[in-house]
Amino acid sequence: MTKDALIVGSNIAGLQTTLDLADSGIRVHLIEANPFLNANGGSSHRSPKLNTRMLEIARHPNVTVWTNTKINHLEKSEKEFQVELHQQPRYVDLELCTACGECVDVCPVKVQDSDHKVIYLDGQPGCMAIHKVGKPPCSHTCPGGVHVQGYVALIAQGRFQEAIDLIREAIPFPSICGRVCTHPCEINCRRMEIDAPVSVRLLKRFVADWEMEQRSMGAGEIGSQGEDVTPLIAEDTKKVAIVGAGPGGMTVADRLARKGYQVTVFEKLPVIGGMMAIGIPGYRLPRDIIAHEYQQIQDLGVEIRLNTAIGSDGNHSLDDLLEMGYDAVCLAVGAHKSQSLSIPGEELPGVEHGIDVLKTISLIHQQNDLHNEVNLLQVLRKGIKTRIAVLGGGNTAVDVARSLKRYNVEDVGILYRRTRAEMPAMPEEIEDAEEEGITLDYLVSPVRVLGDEANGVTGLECMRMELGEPDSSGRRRPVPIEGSEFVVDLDLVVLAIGQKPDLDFLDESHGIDVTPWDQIQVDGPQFMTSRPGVFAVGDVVTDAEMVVIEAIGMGNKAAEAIDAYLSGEQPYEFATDAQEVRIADRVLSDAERTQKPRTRVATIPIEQRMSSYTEVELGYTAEQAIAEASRCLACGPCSECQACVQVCKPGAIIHNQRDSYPELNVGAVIWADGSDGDDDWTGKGFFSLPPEDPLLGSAVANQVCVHLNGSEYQKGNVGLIDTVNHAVGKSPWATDQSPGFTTQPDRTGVFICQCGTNGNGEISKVIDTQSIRARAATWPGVIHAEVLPFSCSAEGAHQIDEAVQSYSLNRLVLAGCSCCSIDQVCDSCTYQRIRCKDNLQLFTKPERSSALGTIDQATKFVFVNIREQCAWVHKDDPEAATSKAKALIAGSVARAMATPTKLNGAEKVQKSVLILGNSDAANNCLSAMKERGVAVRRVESLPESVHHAGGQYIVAQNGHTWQASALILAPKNKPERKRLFKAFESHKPLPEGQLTRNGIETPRPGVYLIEPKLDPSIAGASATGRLIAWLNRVGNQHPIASTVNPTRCRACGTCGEICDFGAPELIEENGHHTSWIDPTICSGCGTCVAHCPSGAITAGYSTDAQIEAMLSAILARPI
Amino acid sequence: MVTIHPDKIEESTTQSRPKVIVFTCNWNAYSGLETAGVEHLTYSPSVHPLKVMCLGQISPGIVLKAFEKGADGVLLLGCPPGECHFEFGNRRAAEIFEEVKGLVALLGYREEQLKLDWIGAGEGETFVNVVNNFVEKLNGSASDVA
Repeated sequence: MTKDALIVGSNIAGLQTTLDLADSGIRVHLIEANPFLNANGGSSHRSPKLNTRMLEIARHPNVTVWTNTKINHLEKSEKEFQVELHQQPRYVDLELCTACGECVDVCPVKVQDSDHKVIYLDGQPGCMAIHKVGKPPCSHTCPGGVHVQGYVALIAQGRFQEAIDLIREAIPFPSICGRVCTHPCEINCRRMEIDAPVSVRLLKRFVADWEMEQRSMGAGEIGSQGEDVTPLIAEDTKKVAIVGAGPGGMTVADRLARKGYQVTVFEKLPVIGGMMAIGIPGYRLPRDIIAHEYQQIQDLGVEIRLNTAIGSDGNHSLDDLLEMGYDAVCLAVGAHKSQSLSIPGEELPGVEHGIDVLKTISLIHQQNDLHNEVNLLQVLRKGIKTRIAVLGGGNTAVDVARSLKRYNVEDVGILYRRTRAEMPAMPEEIEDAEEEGITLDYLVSPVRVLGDEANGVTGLECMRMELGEPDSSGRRRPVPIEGSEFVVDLDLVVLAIGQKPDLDFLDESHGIDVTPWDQIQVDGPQFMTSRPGVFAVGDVVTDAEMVVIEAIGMGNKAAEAIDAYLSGEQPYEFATDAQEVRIADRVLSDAERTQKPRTRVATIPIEQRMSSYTEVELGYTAEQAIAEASRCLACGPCSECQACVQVCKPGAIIHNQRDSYPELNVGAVIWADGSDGDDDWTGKGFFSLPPEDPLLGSAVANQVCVHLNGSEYQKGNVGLIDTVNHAVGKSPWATDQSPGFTTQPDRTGVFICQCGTNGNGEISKVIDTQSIRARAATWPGVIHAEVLPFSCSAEGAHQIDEAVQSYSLNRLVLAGCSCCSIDQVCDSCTYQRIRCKDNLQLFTKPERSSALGTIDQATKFVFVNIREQCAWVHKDDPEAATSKAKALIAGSVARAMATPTKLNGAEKVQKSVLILGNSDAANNCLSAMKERGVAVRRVESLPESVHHAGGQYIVAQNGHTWQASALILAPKNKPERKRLFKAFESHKPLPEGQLTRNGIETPRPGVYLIEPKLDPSIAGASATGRLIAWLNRVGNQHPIASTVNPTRCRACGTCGEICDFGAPELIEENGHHTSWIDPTICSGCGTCVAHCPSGAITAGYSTDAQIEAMLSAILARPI
Repeated sequence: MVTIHPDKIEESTTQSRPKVIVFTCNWNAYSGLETAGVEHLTYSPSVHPLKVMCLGQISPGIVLKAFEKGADGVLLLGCPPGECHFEFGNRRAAEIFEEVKGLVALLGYREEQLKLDWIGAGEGETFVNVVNNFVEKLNGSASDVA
């Protein structure tokens, strides 16, 4: 059976169980559903002591902490459990985060009903966590991969530059999309459940316009960081040809140019923009907007050759391009051929294709080309009296109608075979069309065009429709109503029912597979055609007409694929990526459900609209944009605005982190989350813990130990790690105790952490780390001085290790944010400090390959905290902060050099227990101890005296003496308790003050008290669990105990009087009397040092010699 | 023993600023010092912290040594009464302080140059107030003397 235990939840009791089990040698998996331990522990405020406890757990070699984790599946076999966990991402790397908090400052989103931002820190593990329930629906649905909620959140804060930078990172055309995007984001916006979606498109337009305005005001280059817009292209770079200057092709051009390719775009038309310039009317998308966005791509070095057709009757054939030295060709020719209706009369004069009409009008506006004007006059053959019907319901249909209406044509109508609800055109477009006097007739389908060759169209015979069952598109299928035929008198019928690619440009030798529907066939996500090196993107490869944002999205992916092809790498798998994404669908609170109407956008007056091609929509003001953006519900709630990524110096943010499903085998499952698990999850091997009872935590730890190890305990081969009788009372004269003296020459290395890179780190942005490094290198005994970006990372530890090896260092000083090198978690300790020491293998046996193992690390490795003690507190005076840091580092170098040659080693302790008392708890404790295989004895009658000598408690009663390394006091009642305490007085009174710290511990190490009022069964087991955990810890910790120099000691006994723990005792050896301090009892406070009249005692942590050396260095003045 | 002079050349700017040694115990007082840092509070850069396990460890000799080496002031910060990590260390520190106060006065140092105070765990603001007040009084009395 496996010896591992699984603890579910981290309430106070569970934390105690975790520690006791881990100390007893059990491997513990602690899972917590929240990103931080004890988040739902019932304590509103976590005390420093609890924080310490959690850190001890986080660093314990026998504990694995799984945060954001739940049990996905649990199966019980005969003797153990198979558990599948489900760990949701933290989105922050626990190995890298320095908890500097800059991300919190820039995060634009506060979590609803909480007091923290989306990225936050709330305890241990002390690294940030991101609150992200899933991808916001708006961002998820955007074909262009724009972080929609992100830029909306930034706009809400008035951070316009960051917003536009974020958009530009995903798409090259924010201004264009801000005008014509069909905004699937808005369609998926959850505000729809309350009132109306956030006007995302107009927000994008606002920041794009804002940026253009900034530039025109001379604010300089695009991008807040002053992005370099000079061409990136090197001479020997690979060349890519793109056919077609529409949104798809130009996105590919933009992305590839940014990657350093030399890109040439071949465009058949005399204008840039593709369908955006000839298919979308100028009143919706002014041409200077297209020019502005294209110019930025041209600024990257992309060349656009207009009036240059490719193919059979073009300027170059496909083969030519490849022969011209292009390493790849991307066909992005779009779908410029109108679909036909296949009804009688379609060939008559007066039947036109919508896309051709739009192209004609667009070219009139962009080119001084008489030919197109003549064309349009021919189309409008009866001038403003021309009666026009546009057939179709998409944007093209509405665009044609509105464009023709601008020529003052009186009678322009749209005929659509379904209802308005099914119209693919954007609702705002339809509204504008109605305002402009265009009639819309729904549920009408054309049957045949009336007229003749000589007179052209005279009318259109139509049928009324009704809606039937939904078709494959999900929309209800229009069904003709029998006998409903009617005739509309017309002069012009415009077909706007869809387009398809025009593949006439492909010559006979093209070698490209084409579908029966005139599309170019590509190889899925690779975007490569059947001809190697030839790619295709956009409408020419899809069977649905793409909108701009879809073309951009596809362009992004195609660019990745082309880059992968040209650099010989595997292309990124977009398809599988999308499947794993979780969409945010959190429950909205009542407060969030409050109505907030949409901010309306101003449009130009109707008269002005009809007399010109001026842009109709005026766009938001800054105030309007902020108000509208503030309507966002923050579905994520993380908006993925990437602000945290921008500021995170160690690069610890991982926004695309995925869920994981680790599997474990455990022998016991302990519920410590307030639940008792599932109904099926009870019985043998399951334990449950009430939230705040550490006493029960220890008792359960004891039970779990017995459950997992019962039979082995009886065989005596596990349990106490060392049961060998090994007396601790070594002769004090045998040890070399000469502080402040070293025999080896000092070879000190000084490492200065920047907590970031160069001048940008949390430390280095205030403190001139380089100048300190230069100065430190000149100090006597300093062999090497180095500046590190992140000393608490594995990489930092590696760099230190390498330097130790290269320069044979034997003393180390690390100036960063750690502050001591002892194996102890103090009130102010942090996750990062522990991680740093772990990486440096301070308390674990260093790997053979590590040079760090050659240094007595705990004594010769000195940490100094210049982040919390200099950089962060003297931000306003960098010079003083640098000077102070320099002094403190000099002090630490002095301290390292003043380290005694030898301090106490770990002491073996004879692990045995005496139970004093005859209460029920004592009986329970006795059997529990025996069950654990511990050397235990009970003294039923109360002792006359208890004292401590030679590392043992010695109990005397009625002429008998017993000794053991630990005691359990188990009085039956108050008078017995009093008598037990009195027994201690003969040696050293047991202080009453902090009795039963953590439930059952006394301040005297190894002495446990079971108060008479406690439940005897729980308390007996609890004391057993806690005491055995202590027995396993003691002697393995590096001692910071004080030591006595027997040659200076006068055996006056002052230290014994001073110490409340009873650590010092007077001993005699070979006729010499001296004091001796028991390292298992001494807690290292050093108070005896200050009171020793002969200066015979040396403190374990900071010797007087070290303090003196530090004072000299810190206070050194120029001579 | 090697004595290191952190800076022998560029001391001109810091020469005028007093140097104060602030002994903190490893527990409550150090937590106060650290909290001030974590909360990005600012205080006088005169403050040079030096951590010991318990304030009870500071002997009169160590305090005198600090003055001898040129400290302009010595501030001893420990756990508040009743909260000592070692139960009795802060009481012992108070005893030592009484002893050394007389010695320091005898040597001619001003009263403002030596002080004993308590800082609770996590009390960053208290730490800042205590050290700033100490430095201010030190500066004030120094200019009085001058």
